[in-house]
Amino acid sequence: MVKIISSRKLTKRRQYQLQTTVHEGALAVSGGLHLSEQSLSSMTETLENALHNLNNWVLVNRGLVGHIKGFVQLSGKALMVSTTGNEVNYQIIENGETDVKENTLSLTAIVFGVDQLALEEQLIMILESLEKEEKMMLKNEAVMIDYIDDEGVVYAMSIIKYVDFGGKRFVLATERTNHHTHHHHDEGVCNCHEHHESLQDQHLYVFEWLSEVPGGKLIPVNDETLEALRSILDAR
Amino acid sequence: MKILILGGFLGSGKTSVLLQLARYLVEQSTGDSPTRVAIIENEIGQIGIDDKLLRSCGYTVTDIFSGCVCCSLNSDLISGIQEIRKETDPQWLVIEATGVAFPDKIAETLFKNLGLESRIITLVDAKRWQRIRIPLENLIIGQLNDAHLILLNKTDLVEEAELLAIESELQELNDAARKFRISGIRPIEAAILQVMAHG
Repeated sequence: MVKIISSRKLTKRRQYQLQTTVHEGALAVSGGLHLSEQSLSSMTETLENALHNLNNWVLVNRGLVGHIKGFVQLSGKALMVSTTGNEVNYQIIENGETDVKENTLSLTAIVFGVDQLALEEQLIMILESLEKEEKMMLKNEAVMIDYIDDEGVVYAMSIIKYVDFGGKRFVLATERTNHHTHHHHDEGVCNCHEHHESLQDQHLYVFEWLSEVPGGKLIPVNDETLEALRSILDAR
Repeated sequence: MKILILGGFLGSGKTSVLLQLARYLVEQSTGDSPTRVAIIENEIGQIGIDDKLLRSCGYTVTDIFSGCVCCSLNSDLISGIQEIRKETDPQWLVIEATGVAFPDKIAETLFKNLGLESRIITLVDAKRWQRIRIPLENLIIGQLNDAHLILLNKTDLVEEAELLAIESELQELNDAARKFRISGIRPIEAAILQVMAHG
């Protein structure tokens, strides 16, 4: 059967160095990212969640997890996160290699009985959200994007968190209408947090994140989806 | 050069065992210079992860990625070993196979092409045995073929009755191999490490 694939995937595959090997019925999909040194602590939680979600995805798709492993390599320390389908284990290695030329995240998912393209898509989603979260954390700022509702009204939103659930990605975002204008910031990004209300005082909106559209797109979720997401979001 | 092949299914604990084994071999050094241990890390994925873990723990590793040395990459294995012999000439060479490799095929490749004998140590994940035993039968049984030693790992996560049932199956599948229980919550006993190295 011929499968039609978005041409955007070629760019994503190259961007994340995605490679797939098949052996004895196992699909081994590997990818990677370059990282900043500041990101190890947040990476632990994010990677743990990502691997949990991937485990669930494999289960829902009636596959079998062989081994899913993530390795964050920084100068002098490293983080290994892995799962064989149930709990996710992690190990922080102190006093590790110091001759590290660049900080990297490597991710490999070895899975049986799932569609190759669908598994690759899952890895791209994970790498994409890790990259975006890292950017947000490093700049201590949110990613800005406009949301256009059914009536064509434009809302300026700040994405503060990505959540993968049921094979889709969702985002938590807050509206920026009360903020002053930041003409001096590049790319419409605001980083003057001292002027802004705290996160507890803000309303957070849930959207589905459509990564197939260049730059991404926010689409509204229905009440059923919101209810299904509630336990995950409350835990955060 | 003595060769040990570490095999076993994905996630069965091969890299953790390799770290303990390599440390043991170096600690057993006699004479002025420490025992030289070379490691070949074969990973099925294009990007290695276990090799990075081993390097983070201070070991020098030769990588063979993106396939299995038991089949498609066996020429890489042969050239890798020839290079190691030429450059390092270690007393020990430990080959960590991928979790979907057949260790007996690796041993056969080494013997046929280089005339080298090797010992096969296969790890079995007690916790996942029931889950993978039937769906991946050919692979699981194949990994136990010709193993000299079988280490039943993660025994702390499984009830005694289930462990006995697994051991009984392992005995049927390979009655010649010596078998030991190990777990991730405590270090491997020196007596077992000695059997792993010397038989």
